[in-house]
Amino acid sequence: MGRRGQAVPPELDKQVEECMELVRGEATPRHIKRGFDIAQAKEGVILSGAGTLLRGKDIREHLSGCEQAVLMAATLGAGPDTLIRRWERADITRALILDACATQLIEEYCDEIERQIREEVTAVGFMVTGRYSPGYGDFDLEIQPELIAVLDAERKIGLTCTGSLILLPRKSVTAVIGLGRCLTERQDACERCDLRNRCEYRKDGNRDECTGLDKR
Amino acid sequence: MNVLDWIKDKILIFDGAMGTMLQQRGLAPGALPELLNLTDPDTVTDIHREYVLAGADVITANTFQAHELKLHGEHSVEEVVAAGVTCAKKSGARFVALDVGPLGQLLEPMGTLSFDRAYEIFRRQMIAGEQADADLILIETISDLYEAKAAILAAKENTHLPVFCTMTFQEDGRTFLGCDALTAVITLQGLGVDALGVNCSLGPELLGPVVETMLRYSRLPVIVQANAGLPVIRDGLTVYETLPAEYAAHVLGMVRQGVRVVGGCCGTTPEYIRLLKEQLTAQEPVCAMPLRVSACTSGTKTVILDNATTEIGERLNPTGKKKMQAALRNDDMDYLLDEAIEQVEAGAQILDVNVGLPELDEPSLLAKVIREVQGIINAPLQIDSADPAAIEAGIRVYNGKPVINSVNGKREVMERIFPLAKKYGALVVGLTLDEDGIPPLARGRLEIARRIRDTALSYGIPEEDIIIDCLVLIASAQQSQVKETLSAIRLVKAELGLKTVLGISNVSFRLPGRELINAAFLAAALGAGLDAAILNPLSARYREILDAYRVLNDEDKNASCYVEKYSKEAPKAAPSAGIGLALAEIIEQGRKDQSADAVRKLLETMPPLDIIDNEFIPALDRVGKRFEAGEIFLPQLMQSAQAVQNGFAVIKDRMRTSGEKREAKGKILMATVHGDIHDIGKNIVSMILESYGYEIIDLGKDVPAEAVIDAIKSHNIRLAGLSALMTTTVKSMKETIGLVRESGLDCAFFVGGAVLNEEYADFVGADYYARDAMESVAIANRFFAVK
Repeated sequence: MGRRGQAVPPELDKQVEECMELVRGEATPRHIKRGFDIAQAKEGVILSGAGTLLRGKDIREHLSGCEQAVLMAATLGAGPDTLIRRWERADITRALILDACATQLIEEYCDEIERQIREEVTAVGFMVTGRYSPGYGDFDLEIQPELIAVLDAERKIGLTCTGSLILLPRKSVTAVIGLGRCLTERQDACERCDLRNRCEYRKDGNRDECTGLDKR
Repeated sequence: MNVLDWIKDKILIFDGAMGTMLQQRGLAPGALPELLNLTDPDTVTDIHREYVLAGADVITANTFQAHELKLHGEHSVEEVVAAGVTCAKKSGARFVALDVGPLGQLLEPMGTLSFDRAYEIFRRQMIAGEQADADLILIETISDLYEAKAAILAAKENTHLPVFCTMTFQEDGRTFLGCDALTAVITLQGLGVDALGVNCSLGPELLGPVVETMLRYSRLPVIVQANAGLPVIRDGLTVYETLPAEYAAHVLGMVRQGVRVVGGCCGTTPEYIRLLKEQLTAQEPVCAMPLRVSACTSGTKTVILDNATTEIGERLNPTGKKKMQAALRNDDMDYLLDEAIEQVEAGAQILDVNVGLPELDEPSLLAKVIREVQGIINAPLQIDSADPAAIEAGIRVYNGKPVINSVNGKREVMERIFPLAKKYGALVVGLTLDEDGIPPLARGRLEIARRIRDTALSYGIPEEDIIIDCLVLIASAQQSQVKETLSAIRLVKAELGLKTVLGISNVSFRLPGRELINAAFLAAALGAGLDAAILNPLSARYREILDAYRVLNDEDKNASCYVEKYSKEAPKAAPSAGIGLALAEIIEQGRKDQSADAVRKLLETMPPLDIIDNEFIPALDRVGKRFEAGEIFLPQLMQSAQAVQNGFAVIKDRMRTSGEKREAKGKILMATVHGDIHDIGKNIVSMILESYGYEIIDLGKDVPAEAVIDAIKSHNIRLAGLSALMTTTVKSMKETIGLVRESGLDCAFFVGGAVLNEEYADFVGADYYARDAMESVAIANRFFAVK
């Protein structure tokens, strides 16, 4: 919402809390995930079995040293979209806050899924990378329809993608998580960083530029 | 024997999954199975044949996604459908079903696919299926009731084939788009399918509640094609948890409750169907005894009129309402939508929608308003018009089973309206008047009601879909008639057993204290047995009567709603913070509920234009500076702008009555470009520009370049703002600006949106880049050279 450290007036704070409750009430979080063996290729990484090529140097780097990858898709369902659309008419400030709350909620939900995956695979001796989504770095959004098809996400969780590559329902995420026996410090360092899901370096594909100062 | 004859006295068995079988044979996940109809038809036919041998009566052709959107023009729909049906026929199937799945794109307003476009895509698939000689159409795995409607209309209007339709429900008993089983049954059966039910998503053991609801309400055969339980990944393959014997046992249980059509979905194989067939050989069909209820639906909600007092909101109607008339003339949808939201929040369960103004194109306007209203509220709608063309336009785009308001006893009117009610499956309000007017006595009105019912039945409309309006007369003019209305309600209920509805408010016309008369009449009508009242849900007196009556009529169980609402002491008007503040402070603090009052007060001493220039703008500027300096953040800026807008509304009203004119500072067109549906950012910018006194022509989201060009021409626009949020839609921003320039229009562009920056702004050919809403104001101020 454009906040940069300003104090939050109590009335607004209360509204944010109310909005979070409203969004939680309307959300029907669903996800699907599927593991693949992967093979490095010149243009990116191939998901064996599906034959899908994840194109780009950034995704290749993200998955370097990985033997497998988990493809995941998650959505809050159509409820929050309708809620926000309705409030856009009645009170746009509230709509903006609801929108931000829904974004927060889908991120939390993805964190939870990621945590589950981490628990499952560390038990069998794997390390994991963080989740990496189409649109980060040079990992092009063009891949969205194929990811949805490979996961059968339309049927399984009601997730679709428009011709302009917008995921619908709006509060949805697709992502790739790498699994390896021995991942580098840096891949893992990002994992431990609190800012990883907001990290501009990661989103722009310039992870190397991160000095680690933000890593708490 | 055709399939409809078969299901009259036999259980019908469909096949199991196709995708599962293909994946077992090595089809890669994500690949389009329908292309195998062309590249490997023998494999497809082999799978079908296995199902025939297992005992399936119907083979579902491999055409689930054989439509334009998924085939991408690489192969024609006709080619893939014909090959698919041929594969199914070759298997020796008794019946072949054209399989029609969802389009994979969400319909407006959730997505960008229009209802009409969806209809066209389905139409092509349906026609191809009939031409390929399929025996029936199976529309399945549908989550959006609206999409089901498009598909059903496409099937019924363009083919002669029987239509079966199944929807897909999740663990919470709803589809992905929120439709519940009851709403599905009521709506689909209204649309005239031949069988309806559920498929996919869950195993039969978890579908119990959904299937029970369907059996309780469906007059049509109910279909169950469940998954083989929940999917789990084992060794990289998706497998399903429910074993064939378990599956068959569960389905047999459902058949014993009355399910008539069975089969399998994801994860089921010929083994499942073989066991199912074995279990069912000795099983006679069981007749379910469905409840017959008067019900209407939206896309996600059902309102049942039986054993309840139903409240229908009357406010979406321009008759006698200047503001509503102006909103309709100016295409001010926000005003209408506010009215809709307020009524539902006050307690209306159904909203009447009437847009009849003599100079407007009623059919297209009614369709538009219905699309807008159903996009944001989930109460069913009552489509109200005297023009049959408008009624048809409205009910066609309606998502759900609507109420039509109205027919009457005139032969000509019934002949026009009943076929529409039958085709689209609507409830119909029948007014007790005919060629000779309104009968003065209750008996006369009863006779017209009887005629309306008998005529409706002759069109195949069930009697529970008829609601009789015994008509209110004005107490001040025809006082003795008021009692006749009440008697007529009693007669219609007692002798015909039909539901009744009544518009309440007219009774008090020309009397003082109208609310009091209205409330007394409402109570009397409810006492006479009225089922539904059309009224103003915002009236406190009506509210009290309804709340109290629902206790007395045993609807509000244990009076819990009533106690909750009326046991609290009336809240003392708490002195709300900020009362007595100056207008400027109210704006700066974003107290948007107080600005209107403050403006009204100020208008006693200050001319309207001075308030704008000396109060609104300087206060907003101060807020804007604090925003730019990072002292406050966006929601606070927006609340200040909303406070100004609420004040503006008061000034506009005043100027309208005084006839005073105010030149807008400039006219700005705003749009989110084609392909993009993120419009909250654009709406924020529009609002803030508007609060600075600019006139905004807002074209909405997903706006094609042609619409931008047309609007620039027709509104004589010199500055336009475009928004795009995705890298993918920045392209269409460039196209839009390019096309405007090519057509030689002199219009400057400012652009914004999450992915935009100076570089992109140059790339798309924009004149200005606006980082945020305040920057848009600065750009507009410079452009129109005002300060």
